[in-house]
Amino acid sequence: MNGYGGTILRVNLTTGKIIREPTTPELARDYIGGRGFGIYFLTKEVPIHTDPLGPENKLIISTGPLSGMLAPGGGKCDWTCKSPLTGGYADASMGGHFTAEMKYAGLDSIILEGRSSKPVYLFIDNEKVELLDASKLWGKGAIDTEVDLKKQYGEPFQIAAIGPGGENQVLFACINHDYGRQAGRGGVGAVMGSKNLKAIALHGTGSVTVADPDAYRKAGMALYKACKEADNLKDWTRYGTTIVVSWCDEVGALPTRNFTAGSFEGGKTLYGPVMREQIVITDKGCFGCPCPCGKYSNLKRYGTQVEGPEYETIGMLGSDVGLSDIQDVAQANLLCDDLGIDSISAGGCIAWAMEAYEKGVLSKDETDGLDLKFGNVDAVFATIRKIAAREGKLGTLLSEGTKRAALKIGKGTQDYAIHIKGMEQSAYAIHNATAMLISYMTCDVGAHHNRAWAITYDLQVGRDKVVPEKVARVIWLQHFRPMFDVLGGCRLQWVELGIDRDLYVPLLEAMTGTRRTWEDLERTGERIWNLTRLYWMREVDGFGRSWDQPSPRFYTEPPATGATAGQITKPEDVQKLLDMYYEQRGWDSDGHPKHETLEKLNLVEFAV
Amino acid sequence: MTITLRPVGHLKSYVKGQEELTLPAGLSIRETLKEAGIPPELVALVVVNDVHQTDKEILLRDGDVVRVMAVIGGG
Repeated sequence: MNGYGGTILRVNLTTGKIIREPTTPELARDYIGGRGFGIYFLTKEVPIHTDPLGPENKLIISTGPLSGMLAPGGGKCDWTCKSPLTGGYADASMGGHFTAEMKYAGLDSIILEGRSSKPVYLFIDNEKVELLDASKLWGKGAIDTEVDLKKQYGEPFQIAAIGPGGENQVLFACINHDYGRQAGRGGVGAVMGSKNLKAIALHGTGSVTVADPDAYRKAGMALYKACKEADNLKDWTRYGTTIVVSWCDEVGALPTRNFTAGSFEGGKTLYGPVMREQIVITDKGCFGCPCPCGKYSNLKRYGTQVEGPEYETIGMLGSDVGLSDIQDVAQANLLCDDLGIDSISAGGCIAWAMEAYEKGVLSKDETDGLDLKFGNVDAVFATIRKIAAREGKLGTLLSEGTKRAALKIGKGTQDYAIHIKGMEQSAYAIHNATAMLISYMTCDVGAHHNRAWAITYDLQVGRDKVVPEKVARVIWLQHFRPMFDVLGGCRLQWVELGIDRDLYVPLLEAMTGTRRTWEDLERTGERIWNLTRLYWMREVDGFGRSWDQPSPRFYTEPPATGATAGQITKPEDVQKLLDMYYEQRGWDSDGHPKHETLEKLNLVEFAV
Repeated sequence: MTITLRPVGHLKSYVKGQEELTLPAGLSIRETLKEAGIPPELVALVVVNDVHQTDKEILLRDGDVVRVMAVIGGG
């Protein structure tokens, strides 16, 4: 099938049975790839109310048409499952070089099913697929595991591995790849750990057929040319996502001490140019990328090297926990990567615990003796280790995520557990940014920024405005941006270099033989968005409006300092935003898609 | 007494696509951006004579070359 690997690989870890199925033209037509394939298989194959950490849950890895092809940023694959952190839908996009090798091995999806009775890793070398003993790898860090498997099989093999956090099924465990790229959010690493699957070692050398090779080459090169000619390529490459640290600090979006403010008095030492000067030794890109945004850093104080930190980690393991030294933040980043836990959720959990400790709600006994004050770097490192090991009272408490921790502790701590749908909010403070607020509230994995990054739109049109245009913008972004997670590519070439998105249309047509305009792609994006909503409704009893609520911090507690001092979103505006959103989506007042909406999107068969 | 302002990427849409603008010296970076019609709060990166500046209140001097860049899409 043109533009695709052609095969869905099923690996049953309970029985050891490995099955190859053809990717059907109907699946490609209706769901395209990536997270589209993920939600399709999840909805169709995983039983209702499955225990996310039970053998019935499936972990689905999917490439898309752009993966491994002549497309700038075609290095992304998507990991989908029922989330152990939220109980609902989860997908996590991972960069690096795994997806290209997966495509060259002929694989559009790998569906991991069941649970092995002992630790194993999955070995894939083109047609050869085996489950092998991982007892010697179990207990190792994710990076050490990658080093070991690369030594054993050679550099061409791409490795994705969990660390102890995944083995211990920390609910926000991640999957690490390429020494510093992750499928990070929603606990995909815990699901991999629950299957006793330590790693995947993968190598592919096959070809992918395309519908029109000449047009394919021409369209691909046009995209690369547009990237290379972008006048912001140099600056974007130099700083990557860290370029936004100073900007967020300036406009009050930098999460500070558990989101009590949006500007950090120690922020200047975390800015991108400071990091570049002090610790960055080289740039690092994913497969086929002309603008390598990854930064590889040398931490002299610790004698370590790490890819990163990226903006989100600087926000959540820097300002949000009160750390102002970039080497400390980068070392915390490295610990999370190697131990295999999501640095965003880890930062959110630690910041919540620090606030509870400083308020006297968490005692020193409950922190296992740690002086868990904001800015205490040793306490941050120790807490990360405890979480990954589920060790002691503190590690056990935080390994379940902020929502569960606050429910357990009570005493008002739920008011400052900064999560939506159980997922810790990523690194944008939204005290007065209503487009970003509704984006977080309605994101289909929980409080994550990647679906609709709308905060500059807030600044362009007026940050406290509550108008239908803002909601419409967020909805459009929710269809458009995640389309890159469907196509198996990176959105940053469009997002930051600003290349013309229409350049992708002839490339996709030349590859697959099917012409899709962006309007067509956005319709598929809308269909997928509604399907993930239906998945939540199916899995979570009583799911609806109450699950779309933000932390009260953003509508009851104006920051005392910084750029947003004294500013707050009115509580009634939060609900007004939701009303507008549901109406524009064709959902009822409880956030459930109406029958006519499902009919329009051809989703009636999935109605809950 | 002038400075040269070079908006990069999306910011050019605020100056009718111009690659380069000549503006009076003696204003702060923030005032200069306003003078050019670029909302200062959208500017994430300011480079003055190849040196990165995080303080938009710094006054620009005769002959300075200023490159400015926005973030539009986020991570």
